Amino acid sequence: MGVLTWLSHPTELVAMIRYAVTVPSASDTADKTNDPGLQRCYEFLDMTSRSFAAVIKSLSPTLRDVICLYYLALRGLDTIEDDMSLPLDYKVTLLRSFHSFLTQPGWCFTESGENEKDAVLLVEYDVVIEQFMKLDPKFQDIIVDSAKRMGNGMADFSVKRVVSRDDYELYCHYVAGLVGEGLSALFAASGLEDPDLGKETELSNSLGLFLQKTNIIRDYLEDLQDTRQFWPKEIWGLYAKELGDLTEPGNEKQALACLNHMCMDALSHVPDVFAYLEKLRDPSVFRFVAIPQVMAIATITTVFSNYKVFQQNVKIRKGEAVKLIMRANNVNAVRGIFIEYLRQFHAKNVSTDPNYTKINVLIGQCLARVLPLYQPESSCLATGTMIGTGLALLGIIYYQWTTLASSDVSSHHTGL
Amino acid sequence: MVESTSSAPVYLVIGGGGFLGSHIVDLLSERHPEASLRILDLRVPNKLPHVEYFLGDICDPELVDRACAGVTTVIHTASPHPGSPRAIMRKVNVEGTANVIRGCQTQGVGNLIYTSSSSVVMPAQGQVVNADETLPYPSQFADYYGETKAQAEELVLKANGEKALRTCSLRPAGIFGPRDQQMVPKGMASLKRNAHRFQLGSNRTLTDFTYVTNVAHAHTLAVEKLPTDDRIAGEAFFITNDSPVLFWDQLRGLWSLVSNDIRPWVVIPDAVAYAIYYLVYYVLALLSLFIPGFKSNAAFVIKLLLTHRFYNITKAKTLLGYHPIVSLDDGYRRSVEWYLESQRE
Repeated sequence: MGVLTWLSHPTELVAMIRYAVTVPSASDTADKTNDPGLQRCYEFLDMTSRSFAAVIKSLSPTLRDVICLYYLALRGLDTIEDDMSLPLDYKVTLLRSFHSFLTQPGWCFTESGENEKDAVLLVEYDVVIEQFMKLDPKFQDIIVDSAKRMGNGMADFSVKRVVSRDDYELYCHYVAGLVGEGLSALFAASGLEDPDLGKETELSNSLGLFLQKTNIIRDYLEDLQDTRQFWPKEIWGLYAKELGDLTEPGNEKQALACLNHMCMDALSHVPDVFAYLEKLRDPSVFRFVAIPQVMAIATITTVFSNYKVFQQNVKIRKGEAVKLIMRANNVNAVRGIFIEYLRQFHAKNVSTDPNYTKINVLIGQCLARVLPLYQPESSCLATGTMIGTGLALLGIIYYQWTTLASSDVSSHHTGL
Repeated sequence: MVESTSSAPVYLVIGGGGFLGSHIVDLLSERHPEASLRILDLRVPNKLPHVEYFLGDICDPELVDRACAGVTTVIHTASPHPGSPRAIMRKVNVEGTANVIRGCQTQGVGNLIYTSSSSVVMPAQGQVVNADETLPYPSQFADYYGETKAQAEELVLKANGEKALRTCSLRPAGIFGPRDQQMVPKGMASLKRNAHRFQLGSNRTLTDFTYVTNVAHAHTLAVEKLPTDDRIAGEAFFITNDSPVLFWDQLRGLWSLVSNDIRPWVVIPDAVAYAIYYLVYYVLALLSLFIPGFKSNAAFVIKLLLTHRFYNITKAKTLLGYHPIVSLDDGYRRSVEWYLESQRE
């Protein structure tokens, strides 16, 4: 890593430098508020979020604090869900009632397991609650409702496993689809987006599912080591007796087939992603929604047909990520990004895969959804036309030159 | 029981002995056992006991009149394949269709369904991207087949409402399936010659293909709805599998079912393929200046690999109630099964 990576990906290096220069740092946003409680919330955001902090901070002021607190509300839930040290009954009760804590001044939680990296958020949760209760009630209602449904869903799944594909859809709906729905409702309520955006529950759900499924696929090894299973047996059962068998030597072919089946399932959400993105109007909301989506298409493309998923933690290069963040400014640019990755994805599909044709058909459907409205910056067709016409002209000149050169001879024959 | 006989519909499938026609006959027999079926064709491979045959030329007025007498709905699906000589395409597609319209009108046929082609909107220059039926015919057609199909379609749609005849036109794209004489056998044959190892173009263009049963399904829907639904009369409909694929993926869908390794050895990138296209185009144009009557569509074939050709079938979905009933994936499997079977015989 390092110099060699930068040398082989110079555009990514340029993107990194530009990103470092232009994107506001955490302290900028924190400086704008004089409220120490709110400042503390933004510190929590930086502490707990790897990928969302920057995009949340670049939202317009109408939504920035709302989304920050929505994120912290869900992060609180997530910390409890992740905590393996809590007794199951207690955990279920906490998950089911978490939404009510959001409006309980002074509530905090100090019983997290030692390994919980985000435990400090719950220890000081009263700070979050204080800020949350300052939000416009219309935002509070949406967030409480979202946390209620998510908490209940997490509670359901803390006592049952993901077995069928329906389970998988439902689990992803609870932990990610609901976030999509909640965000749409918040965008609509803020007035920045169409008031009807909140009703697009199916599309909003798909946004979350594309991200969540991509993460679940990528995190196969990590989850396996933590004895967690999110891949549905209905899919992996086609390829292995136990999910863990996929990592074993000798099972490489089955492992790849299973991985690719999972990737195909995740990719099927792409048409919905565009149906949603095309509805957005506010540039900062657009970027907020689009950036995780372009990360997901890049990640799923990297992961597809990649045996390393079973050996190590596969990630996209930091430079690649930054380049995507810089590019994803409008729907046309995002179309361009998806088209590039869909083509890479297609190039990695091999005919021995049991789902080879199904994957090709799906990529065709995704491209057919994205291509018609895409305005390319430059076109290969134009280059080809130029080269072709040039060659043809040369041919004609050569032809004429040879006829002219031989015209003396031919004139004798024709008697001219 | 004169009444019950007269109320049972009579369907005439022109070209019913051919690839698509035979699938339409199968589906009509299955879904409308009460109907009488007739076939008009040059020849038929094997005769079905429940069908009445009229063998001969669709340009023959007397034959067409006889076949049309007492018919409820004519399904006109006869057409030479796109590589046929120009004179044949003109004769069958334009003159033949005009004769069929005349026959329908003099014999009091109620409905005429014409099998057109998605190529009626394919221009000499430019792409067909998500095209719907509002797209007009191009001023210059990509090939003569599309041009004659468009002329025939225009005649058919203009005849709607004249002398109590109701008409509509279906525009299928890239039909393939069992009994196919083009894509499936030729594609499979190229596998034997290792021609599949050579990929012209970067495989970036989306192309619609349609499994034959889906096209037949669209025809039976038109048979059922055209007599009573005014929204359909006088209209054209694109018919596809609603699932465009990158061009080479169609053939690879077939090949992958019989071979484990179908990777191309040579890929000619788009820019070079375009250069080849223009070279071939100009050379052929030059040749046609010097050789009287010389016409070749070799350049056109290259162009097909380099241009998007996919369609929006919302109109067929909403008005005809059409949805593909066989997926591409299943279509490939059924086609290859049929092909292997036919090779064994």
